[in-house]
Amino acid sequence: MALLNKLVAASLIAAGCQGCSPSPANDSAGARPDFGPVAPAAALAESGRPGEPTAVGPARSAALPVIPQYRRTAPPASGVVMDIGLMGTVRIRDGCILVVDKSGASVLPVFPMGAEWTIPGKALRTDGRIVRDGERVVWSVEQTERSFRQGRPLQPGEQDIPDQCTASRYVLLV
Amino acid sequence: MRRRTAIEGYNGSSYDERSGEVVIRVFGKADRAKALESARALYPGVPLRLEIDNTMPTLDHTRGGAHLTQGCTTGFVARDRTSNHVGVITAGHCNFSVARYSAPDGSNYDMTRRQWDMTPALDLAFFWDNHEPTSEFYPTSSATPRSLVGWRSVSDTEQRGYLRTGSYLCHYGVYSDTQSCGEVTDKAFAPAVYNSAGTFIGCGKPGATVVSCGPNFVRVDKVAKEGQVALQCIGGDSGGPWFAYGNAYGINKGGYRSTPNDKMTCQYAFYTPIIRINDINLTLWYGGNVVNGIAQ
Repeated sequence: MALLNKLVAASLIAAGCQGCSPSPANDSAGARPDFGPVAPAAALAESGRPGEPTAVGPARSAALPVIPQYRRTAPPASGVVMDIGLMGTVRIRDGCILVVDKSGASVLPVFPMGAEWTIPGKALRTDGRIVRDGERVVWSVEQTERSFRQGRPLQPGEQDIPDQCTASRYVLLV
Repeated sequence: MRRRTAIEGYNGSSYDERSGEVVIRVFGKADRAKALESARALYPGVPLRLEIDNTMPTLDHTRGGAHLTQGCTTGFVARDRTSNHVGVITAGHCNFSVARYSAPDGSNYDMTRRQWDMTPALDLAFFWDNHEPTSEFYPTSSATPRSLVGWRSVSDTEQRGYLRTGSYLCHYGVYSDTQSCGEVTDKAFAPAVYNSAGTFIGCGKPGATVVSCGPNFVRVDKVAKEGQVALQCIGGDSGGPWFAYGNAYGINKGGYRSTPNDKMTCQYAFYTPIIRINDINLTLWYGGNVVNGIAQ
């Protein structure tokens, strides 16, 4: 049975497994063959399970690339959020997280607060899902500008877009 | 080979045993009279019948159900009553002045927004380019388009009641990547629309005075039906077609998901009734002569 589970997990990872509900089992199983041991030693030491990548939030390592984040507020139960779509391939380069769409344009997503690295600089978790470098994603988004805060102060837990990160469009994941 | 060069728009032939005719198929855009004349010259004395083939996708043709790569789906092809431009409808909140059109037939070009509006009654935009539009839309993710044959008003649409079921309608969105369907539950739906920061934004244009949505939209709820994909929705389906068979019902405006970014958790979606295209001076396009994107 254990062998069967491993085979299923391996086949899901090989197929990209978009939309699968993430679990620690398939995340760590997919992480090692795909990305290698990239987690900093400090992060691994904190996990208590040496050799296994773990979640590393911004507060736990200042050296990690910044994940731009904003405070998302759900509408009342009877409300809906007006959105458009973002479809493309995730590219994590030089400390920037971008999505390259079908036309080749780069789009910079700002994530809801709580997004965190699972494999530093290679994979992150947002809304309970793992997003990896090179993965194709389909997200509901809202158009915004680089200064997505529009002049208001940074709220606790929010992260601005790093200075070096630019794109042709900027969006908020809704 | 001889038939292909001699008959304009030739797309195959067959023999109809029941009628004894040779059936010559030509693409819809071909000059039919000329094609028949060429076929008769090629096969003198042979009973011939011409059939028009609209299913073969033709490169660089504008259709509904295609991708606007900045994040939306096109709905149906329409004509601007004033200027005679023929282009595609999408949602008004697909707020791009220029959008990249991309379709399964390989079409890939920029379209310019010529009209748009967001009011308590509608959420519509009209994009145009000088490529040749057809009266077709993609109802699924396959490359085979469907011909638009008509439209249905809100009064033609049934709403679920105690003693009756609502109209069962389908939509296609490039981002949910499938045709999915549901049952009309409210023909006078007034959505409460917010942004991602939880601020009420209503149904007006961005930056304008905030106005609530009126009871002018049609809500469709997820209802499983054998042989159909139950309703799915995600951002990017906006602007896509709502239809039953070849009849247009509306242009997708939005939907509600119980889990962010999970199209499978779509509970309901809603659309601007197709009749509202009149309000921005558009009419559905059922085909005709178009030169450089202008109806003649």
